[in-house]
Amino acid sequence: MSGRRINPLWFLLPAGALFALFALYPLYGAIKLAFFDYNVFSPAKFAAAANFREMFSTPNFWNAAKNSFLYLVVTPALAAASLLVAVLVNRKMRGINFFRTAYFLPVVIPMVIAGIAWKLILSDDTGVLNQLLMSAHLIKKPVYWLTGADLAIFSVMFVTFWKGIGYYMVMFLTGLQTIPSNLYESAQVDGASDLYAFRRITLPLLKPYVLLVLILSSSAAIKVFDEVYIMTSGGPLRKSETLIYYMYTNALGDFPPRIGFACAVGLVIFAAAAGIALANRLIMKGEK
Amino acid sequence: MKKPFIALCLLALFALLVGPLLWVLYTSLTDFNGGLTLANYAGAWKDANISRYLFNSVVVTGLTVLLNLALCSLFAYPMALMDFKGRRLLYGLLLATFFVPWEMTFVPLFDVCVKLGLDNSLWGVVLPSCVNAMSIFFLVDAFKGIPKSLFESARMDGLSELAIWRKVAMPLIRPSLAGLAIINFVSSWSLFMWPLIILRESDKYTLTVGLSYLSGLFSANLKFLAAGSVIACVPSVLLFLALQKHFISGLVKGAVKG
Repeated sequence: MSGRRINPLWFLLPAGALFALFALYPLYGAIKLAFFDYNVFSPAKFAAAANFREMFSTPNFWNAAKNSFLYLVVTPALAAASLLVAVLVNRKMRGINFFRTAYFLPVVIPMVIAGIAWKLILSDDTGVLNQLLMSAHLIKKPVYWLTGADLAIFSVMFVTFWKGIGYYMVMFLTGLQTIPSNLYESAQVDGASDLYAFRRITLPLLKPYVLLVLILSSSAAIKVFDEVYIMTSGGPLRKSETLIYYMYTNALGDFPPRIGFACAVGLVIFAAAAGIALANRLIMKGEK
Repeated sequence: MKKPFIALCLLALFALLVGPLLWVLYTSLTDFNGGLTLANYAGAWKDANISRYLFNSVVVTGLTVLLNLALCSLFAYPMALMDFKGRRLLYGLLLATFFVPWEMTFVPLFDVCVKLGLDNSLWGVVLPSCVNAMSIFFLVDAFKGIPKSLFESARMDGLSELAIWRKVAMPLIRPSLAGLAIINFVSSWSLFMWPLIILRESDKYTLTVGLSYLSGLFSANLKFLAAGSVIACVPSVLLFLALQKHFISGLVKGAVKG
């Protein structure tokens, strides 16, 4: 192949310059600053591992780490629910395309809007869900979906779940369409139940898709920010504060900003994301 | 499974997944007595500054999508088809940023933008987000799918490499370009954390940041908020309904590339 006629540099330069400026250099900076004491107003001072030592002895960090870990519960829930939905809509039936399309709608809208919609629905006194439940006499007083200390993070997780179902449903549909339908027909002839066919045919053949969905949704869950910011701002009392949100408040919420510390938290997030990716890869390898 | 049971499941899921959206739509279209009205849209448009946010979002998304297609396909072309020194190194660097969540770098990224005078400007949203490893990998794959003989005959005809890129390669990967445009449209239109960090004045806010700001106001008019939310959904929902097949396959391909 000839690259003689034109130097590849001219092709690479425009995107490469932006990439270096806005991805590589910040990456270098983020790693460097994690080992510095820096607050914008005075010059950065080398601090060795002080940021990390402080972080590991701060209850708020462990609180955020715990919440991020808890947030990963969304991952298996999403995989299971979207698989069931995919099986449900993977049939020839009048109007089924309408439902498939409708279920994908939450995927298309911005997360911020999903958060706002659910905040309108879940708010304490004016929210329609509490009003419905009260008028049906299922509850006596409003449930504090977003302001209750134990409930808030689950409400936020639910929105992540709600918005993800359609997306992973489509992935599973792609997988389901690779399964030859005569497998099911012969199972039916043998008198197998639907549940049996699901466990013995569908699940084993969909394994690669299950793993893909687990990988995608867990690496998204560890980075969750938008829905937390919109719905609870990490509250009440940091009960729904995740790692990214914790990093954000250290860099931008505190005064003076704790830049070095925030970058150290960033490195931990990276380590967590990498760990998840690695764990997923190992599971994948083990399955093969 | 029995037909009625399936129908019941389908409807229950519809209520769960689409119901909330319909509820926001209903809220936006009614006054406080439940009567139909468009006043909330007029209010959101004028009093709540949604028109400005919408304009900003259109500018940001439009520029991001166009620059992404142009710059990433230029970059991907030699990566896919030429052999040059440093290609593997570049690939490695791309891969590195692909696995690092950009969120962990937002502080130094903010610094860079301030030094370049990009803070509180729409370019400050566009430039850092228009080039990414995923798009480049996506397009490298697309270019590699073109039969080599086409390039050779174009070179025999004396076309320059740039002309081959523009006249031969780009038209042939049009479906991939469309898929990528859709992925980037959705992610740029939904972008929240970065614009929230880089945009300070409300005149610069995109729809997501502006609506989040509105929803945080103590005196927030929830009807205006609902109307604004509907406005923010309309472009992506319409695009989705018009291009369903491409839309879904684009999003799925984009994810699987990871």
